[in-house]
Amino acid sequence: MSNLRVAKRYASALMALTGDAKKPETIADDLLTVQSTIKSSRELRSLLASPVVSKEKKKAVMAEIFGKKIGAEVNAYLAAIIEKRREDVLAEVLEQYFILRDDQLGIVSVDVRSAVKFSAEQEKSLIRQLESYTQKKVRVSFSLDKVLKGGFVAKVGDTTLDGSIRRQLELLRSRLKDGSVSKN
Amino acid sequence: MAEVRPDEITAVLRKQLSGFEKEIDIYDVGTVLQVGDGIARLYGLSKVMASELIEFPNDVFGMVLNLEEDNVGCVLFGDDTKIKEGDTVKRTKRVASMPVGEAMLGRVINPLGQPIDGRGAIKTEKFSPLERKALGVIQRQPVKQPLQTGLKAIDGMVPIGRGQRELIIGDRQTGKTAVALDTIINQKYTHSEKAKKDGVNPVYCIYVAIGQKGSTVAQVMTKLEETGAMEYTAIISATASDPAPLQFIAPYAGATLGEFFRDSGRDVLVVYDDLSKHAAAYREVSLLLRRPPGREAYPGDVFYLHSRLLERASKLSDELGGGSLTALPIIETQAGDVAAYIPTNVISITDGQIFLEPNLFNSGVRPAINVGISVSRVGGNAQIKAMKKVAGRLRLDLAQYRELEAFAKFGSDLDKATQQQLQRGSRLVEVLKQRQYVPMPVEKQVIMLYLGTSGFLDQLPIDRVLPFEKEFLEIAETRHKDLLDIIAEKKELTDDITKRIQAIAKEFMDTFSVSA
Repeated sequence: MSNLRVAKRYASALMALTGDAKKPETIADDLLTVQSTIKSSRELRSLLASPVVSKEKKKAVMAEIFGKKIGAEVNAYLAAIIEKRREDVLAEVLEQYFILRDDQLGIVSVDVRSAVKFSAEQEKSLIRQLESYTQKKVRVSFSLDKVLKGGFVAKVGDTTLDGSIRRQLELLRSRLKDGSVSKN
Repeated sequence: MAEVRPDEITAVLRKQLSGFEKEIDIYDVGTVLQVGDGIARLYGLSKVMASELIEFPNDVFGMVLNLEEDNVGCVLFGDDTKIKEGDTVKRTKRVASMPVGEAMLGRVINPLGQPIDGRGAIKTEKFSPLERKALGVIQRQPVKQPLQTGLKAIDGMVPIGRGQRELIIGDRQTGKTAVALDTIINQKYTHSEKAKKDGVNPVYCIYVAIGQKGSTVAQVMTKLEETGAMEYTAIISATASDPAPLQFIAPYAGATLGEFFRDSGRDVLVVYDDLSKHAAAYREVSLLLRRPPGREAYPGDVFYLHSRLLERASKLSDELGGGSLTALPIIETQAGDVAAYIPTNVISITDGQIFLEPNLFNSGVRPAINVGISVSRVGGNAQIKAMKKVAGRLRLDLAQYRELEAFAKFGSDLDKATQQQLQRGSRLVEVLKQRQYVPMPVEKQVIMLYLGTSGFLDQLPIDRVLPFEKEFLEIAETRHKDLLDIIAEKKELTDDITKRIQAIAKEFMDTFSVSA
């Protein structure tokens, strides 16, 4: 929990850095490279988390991996975060960073789970609907979930739009149990 | 027998199931980060309100108490073992509230308004929030009607008015609950036809049990049922086995239900039994939520906890219907220590206190009220005129008696006036004694206190005072019913009445055998 607070602080600093830069997109791209690299390599993750490895070693390793692939700003940031001994929260920092950046660009990411796979046309229409609902651009990730039985569930931030059969059945059950079902 | 055709059933079911696919349910969710000890910390739920009710899986409900930068702290009203890390939590979009209504009378409910007496669902139409701001100055008026407890010592010396907050304080086993129960039982007369004629409004009662033994609550209920008091009484119970959060909201639930009756122009009595355990429950919740501890490890807002509860006691102005909510909070002290944190707080909030002492209790003075340090700061205005007249004298006589009592212990020669005062005092102490569960109507109290203060009992041996009272009141009831009715109706003690009482007493004294 306390990590989250730290990560938010470092992420907002990173946002400020992006704002000042001439080409914000390149920085974002560079950070995406770093994120995916960390995600894909377990060894790199354990290196960053290990308190035994010295700062200098970590800096050298990071410089060797990313040095030429990414810009000077991000390289400097990585060095700084290692210097401050916060490299163990780097993955969370990056996660928070992309949330903040989406916020700034007016993009919401939406998780859609459905029982049956959507057709391309249905997907497009759903995205249109979601955009008019949120009044923002949406980035949708689709996934299948058989448990829903039918329909779909869209999660926009903390709000859930639930149009699944499972939920309908749940509601029906509670209605029948409460006795609020009447003859009329 | 009427027959139900299968196709009819199908039609009904079809009707219920239609509209089944159309709705999309929209709700806000969060996830459980941490759970244990009756509290949970949640991530998400960014729009949640403070003290909002939230829904966990397995029908467990919780209430939001902490809104922090990166998490939401909440207390659980159910079993925390049914919830695990990562569970989704739903908002209900309503602050913690309970159903209120007439149908609660005669029932035992938990602080969420659900029945726990096994007599089926309670039909109510209204929901009311548990935490409500107390009324302002404009909506109130001074306390002016008496709330008769049926105990001579209280109605005479520390009178309670409708809309007052009177603290009952004392060690364990000194009869605190007994005083409150007698008061509830005594309200039965206010629901009678006769009370209506005398201009006394009915008083509805709510007994809130906080952190007590389940068996104690069951006993209270049985007693109230036996005496017929359950008809106008609701019991809200959060026993010692309920989670601390439920105990914490219990008195607020009592106040909310009381306000329902008050706002419809009726009079209510709410007993909070007891607020020391309530403070302890709140301390538990606060410490688990990591709020900083203060004196005796209570959180900083424990004064506000009780002041906002007791401020809800009130007498409404006539424009608002003139209803009232009288609060009888109970505090249990440890070895008579009234200077502890919670007792001093509640003493300063209330409009007076009734002190119960173990010494008195053990020496046979029951109710064990120490009339010297018990006070009622506003109730005097609410006493009926007849009682005011006899009570003034009673207070003076008892004060002088207490002063002389210490001297008398030396056993030296005392002059006649002193001896007489001692004699008077000891008879008055005797008159103020009363058995449990037999509250006395105010007209009888007036007569007994009048006889005591005007010296009629001075000739009797001490152990004959109570038998005298019993037999005398029997005579008054059977042969002089009209006298009792006049006092109850006029509420005054005119010279005619006092003369009649004297005459009856003289006549009775001749037939009453002084020795047993």
